[in-house]
Amino acid sequence: MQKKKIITCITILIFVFVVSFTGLAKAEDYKVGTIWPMTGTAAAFGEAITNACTLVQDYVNEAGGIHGNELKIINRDTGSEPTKGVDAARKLINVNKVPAIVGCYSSGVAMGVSQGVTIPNEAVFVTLGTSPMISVVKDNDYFFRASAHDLYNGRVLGEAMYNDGHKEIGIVYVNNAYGKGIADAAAVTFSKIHDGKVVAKVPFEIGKSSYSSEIRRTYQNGDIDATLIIAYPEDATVMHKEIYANGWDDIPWYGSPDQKVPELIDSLGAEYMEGIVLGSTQGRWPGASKDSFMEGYNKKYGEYPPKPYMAPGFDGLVSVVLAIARSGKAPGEVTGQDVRDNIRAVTSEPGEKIYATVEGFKKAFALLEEGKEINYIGASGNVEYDKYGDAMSAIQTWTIEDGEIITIENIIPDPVPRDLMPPEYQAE
Amino acid sequence: MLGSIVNGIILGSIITLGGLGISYILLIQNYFNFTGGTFFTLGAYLAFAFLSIIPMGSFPVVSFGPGLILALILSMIVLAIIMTAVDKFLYQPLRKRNSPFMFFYLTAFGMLFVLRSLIYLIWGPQLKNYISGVRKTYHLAGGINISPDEIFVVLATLIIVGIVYYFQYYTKLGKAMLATANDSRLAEISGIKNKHVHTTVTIIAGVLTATAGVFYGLAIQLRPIMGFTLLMAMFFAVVCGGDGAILGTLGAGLIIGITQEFGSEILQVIFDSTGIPIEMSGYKQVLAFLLLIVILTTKPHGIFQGTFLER
Amino acid sequence: MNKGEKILEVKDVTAGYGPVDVLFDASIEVNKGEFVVVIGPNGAGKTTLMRTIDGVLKPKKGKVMFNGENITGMDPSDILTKGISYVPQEGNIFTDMSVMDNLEMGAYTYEGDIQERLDMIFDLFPILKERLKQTSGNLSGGQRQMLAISRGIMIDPSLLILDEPTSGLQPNLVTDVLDSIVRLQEEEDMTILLVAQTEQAIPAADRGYLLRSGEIIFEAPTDTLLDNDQVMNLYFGG
Repeated sequence: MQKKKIITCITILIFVFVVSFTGLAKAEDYKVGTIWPMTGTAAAFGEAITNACTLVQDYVNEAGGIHGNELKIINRDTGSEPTKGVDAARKLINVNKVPAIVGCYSSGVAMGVSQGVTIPNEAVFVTLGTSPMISVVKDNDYFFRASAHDLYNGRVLGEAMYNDGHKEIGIVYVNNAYGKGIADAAAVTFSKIHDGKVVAKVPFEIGKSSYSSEIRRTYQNGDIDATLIIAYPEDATVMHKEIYANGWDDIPWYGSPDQKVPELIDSLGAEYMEGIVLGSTQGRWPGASKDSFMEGYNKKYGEYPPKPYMAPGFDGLVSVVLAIARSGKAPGEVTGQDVRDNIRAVTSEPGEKIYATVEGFKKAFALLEEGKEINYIGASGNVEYDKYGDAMSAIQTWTIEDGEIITIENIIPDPVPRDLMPPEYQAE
Repeated sequence: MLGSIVNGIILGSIITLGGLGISYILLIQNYFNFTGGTFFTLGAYLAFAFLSIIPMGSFPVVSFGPGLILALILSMIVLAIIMTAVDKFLYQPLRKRNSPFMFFYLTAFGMLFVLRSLIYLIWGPQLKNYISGVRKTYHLAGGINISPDEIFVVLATLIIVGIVYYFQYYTKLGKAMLATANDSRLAEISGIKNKHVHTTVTIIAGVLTATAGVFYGLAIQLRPIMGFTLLMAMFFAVVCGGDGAILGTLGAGLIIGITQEFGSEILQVIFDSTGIPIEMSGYKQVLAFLLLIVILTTKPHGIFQGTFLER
Repeated sequence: MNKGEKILEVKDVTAGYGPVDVLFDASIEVNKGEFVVVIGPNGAGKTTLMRTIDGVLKPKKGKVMFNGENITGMDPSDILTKGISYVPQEGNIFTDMSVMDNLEMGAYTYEGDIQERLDMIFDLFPILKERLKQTSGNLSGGQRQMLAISRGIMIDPSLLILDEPTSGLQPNLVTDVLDSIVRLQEEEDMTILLVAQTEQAIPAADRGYLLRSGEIIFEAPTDTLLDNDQVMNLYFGG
C-alpha cells in the first residue's frame, strides 16, 4: 500500500516537473526565454517587466504570429541572485530549448548567466545591465545589451557639468562596476574630452552608517564648483546629511540613475532636493514604439510602465523576435546563431522603419517574407546594436522641482569613446 | 578629524545596544543569536509602522516628537513578544532535548532569512526615514558636526546602559539571571525558575534590540539590511567586551565604532600623504576585524578582562 | 507539628537516568527534628535518591510525601517553597558570584528578614563574614562547603538535604562541618537528611540507612548501625 502511494507521488511529481519545464508550449510555437527577478530585492521590477514582455507577445500574436506561428514567451525567476539566474537560464536552454534569452536587471547576474550558460551554449542573451564590462566579455557576439550603459550616462553627466560652466568637480561613487563605470566615463568626458579638472574621485562602499571621510575628500573643504554623486538612494541620504552638516549643500550636485526615486525626496525633503541640478537615467525614445509601449501597457495593466529600464527590456525582446522572423526558419529549428546573425540587420539601416505595434509587426513580418530589410526603432532608442553588442539607447535627464521629479529631455548621446577610457574598458 | 570620532561614538552607541541584546541571549542561552541583527531591523521597522498611525508631535531641540518615543515603546513590546514566541516555539524545544549547539545556530540562521524576507515583503527594499528632511546640526570646534538627534542617541544609550547595569548587578532579578547563567541547576534548586529567567532575558534582549534599531533609524535611516551590516560589529562588541560584560560591551562598542570611523580616516590621510593608492572606505570593517583578531589573540577574555558575571 | 512526627516519607521509589534504573523500590522515612544519614558505597544510588526527593529527577515509580503532601514530580523550585532545601555534592555554589550574592540567591524565595538569617549564618560560620565580597570560586574547600550549606539554609528550611558535605575535606574540617550541622539540628530545629560514602557522619546522626546497589538493605539507629556486619564489611573491609 505504502509503496504504491510513493510510486503515485513520484509519478505525479515527474509529470508536474516535465509539464512545468516544457511550459506546455505547442510544437509549432516560436519560443523565447526571459529571466527576470520575480522574487528578491528587485521583484517589483520583475513583475512590471514581465507584463511588458507579455505585451510584446500579445502584439506579435495579434499580428498573426511570426510567419503564422505563435510566439510563446517562457519566463523564469532569477531571484535577484547570480546562482538562481544561472539555473533559470540553464533550464530555458536545456529543457525549453530556446534560442535566445532576454533578461536580467543587474550586471552581476547578467555576467554570471552569459559566461556560465548562454555563451557556451551559443544562445543569444540580451540583457539590461549598465556595466561597461558587459561590452568586453569574450562572447563570440552572443551577448547583447538593450539598455544605455555607463559610457552613455557618464557622457551625459560630464557634458552637463561642463556646459553648466563648472571648472573643478568632485566625484563620489559606489565602488562597484556600475558606479566606477559612470565615474570613469564622466571623468573622461569632463577632463579629456573637455578641459575641466576632476579634483577628487572617491569610491565608497555601500551600507555604511557614515560617509564623513569620503564626503570631506570629495568636497575638498568646499573648494569645488560641483559634485557628481553616484550612489543608491540609501547611501546618498547618509551622504547628504554629511554634506549639509558641513554646510556644503549650496554646492550644486549631479546624480546617477538610481536617485530618480521619490524615496530620496521623502527622506531629504523637497526643499533640499532643489539643490540637484540634473541626473541621468535610461531614457525613452519618442515615437510610435514608445506610444505603443506606454499606452498598450496602460490599457492592459491600468498604469503606465513604472520603471525606466522596462523600455529597453521591451525593445530587447522585440529585436529578438524580429531576428527570428528574419532567419526564416521554422519553430524548433531557430538556433542562437540565427538570432545573432539577424539581430543587427533588423534594428539598423538599411530598411523600412518598423515600430512595435500590431500593424508594425504585421508589416515587418510581411516585408521579411518578401526578403526586404527592416529597421526597428524602439521605445528606448534607435536600438542599433554596435560591434560590442550594445544598443543605441536614449538617456533621459531629469531634475527635481517642488518635490517632483521632472524630465528635462531624452537624448541619444555619443558614448564616451573607448580609447579614451582606462585600459580595462578596451576590448581585447 | 575629531568629527569622525564623534561619528564613531554615535555608531558605537548603537552597536553597544544591539550587542547587549545579543549578549543577554548568549549569557543565559549560550549561543550567538545570529538573528539579533534582523530583530534589530525588525524593531526599527515596527516603530516605523507605528509611526504611520501615531502622530509624531514635537519636542524642543530634537527633530522628533513624543510619537517616536511611543512608537519605540510599542516596538519594544511587540519585538519582545515576537522574540519570546520565537524562543518558546523554536529554542525551548531544542533546549528541552539538549540539542547540540549547531542546531541553535542553524535555527538562528534560518530565522534570519525568514525575518528578512518578511521585512522585504511588508516594507519593500526602499529606504525609509522616521523624519524626512535634513536635520539641524551643531558645528563645534575641531570640525565636529553633530545633530541634536545624535546627541540624544548617545545620551540615551549611556542612560540605558546605566539602567541595565543597575538592574543586572543590584537587583534580585538581575542577580537571579546571573545565577542561572552560572549554574542553572543550582539556580533551579534555589527557587529561581529557569523558564522565568529565559523569558526575562528574552524580553530584555527585545527591549535593547528594538531600541538599537530605532536609534539607528533615527540617526541614520531604515533599510532592510541595516541590522545585518552591523551584525559583525555587534559580535565584536560582545566578544571583546568579555563574553558580554555590560560595561565591557559599551567599551568595545565604542572602540569598534571609533576604529571604523576615526581609524579609517587616519589611515586614509596617511595613505594619501604617502601616495599609496588605497581607498579605506571599503576596509572600515576589515580594520575592525583586524582589531578583533589582535584583541582575541592578546587578550582572549576581552579587552576589559571581566566577564558578564564578574562585571 | 510535633517533634518525632513523620516529615518525609519516600515510598517504593524507582528512578534512574534514561533507560537505566539506579534506584529500586527504595523507601526511607525521616521524622521531624531527626538527623538521618544514608550511607552506601560509590554508585549505590545515594545522589539519585536525593535528587528524586528534591524533584531534580522524576521517579518512574513510587511517591514522595512531605508533611503529608504528595510532592512526587514537582519542580525543585516548588519543592523548595514547601520547605525542603537541597545542597548537592557538586555545583553547590555559584562559583562566579560573590559570597554575599550566593547567600542572597539562597534566600531568593525567602520572605522573612534576610538579615536575621545572615546573622545566624555568620554565627555558625564566622569565616564567611570576612569573605562576603570574595568571588566564591576562589574559596578554599572547607569554606566552599560552609557556603554551600549556608546557601541551603538561607530560606530556613524544615528539611535540609546534604549530599556528601564532608567529602574531600581535611579531618579537622570534617569535624567542624559536622558540628555545625548538629548545631543546625539542635539550635535551629532543622531536620537533616545527609548522604555519605564514608562512615564519618554516622556518629553525629540519630539514625541511618544503608543503601547498596540501589536498594535500602538496612535501617537502624546509628549506634547499632556501626555494629552491623554489612556496614563493617563495607567500611572496614572485614
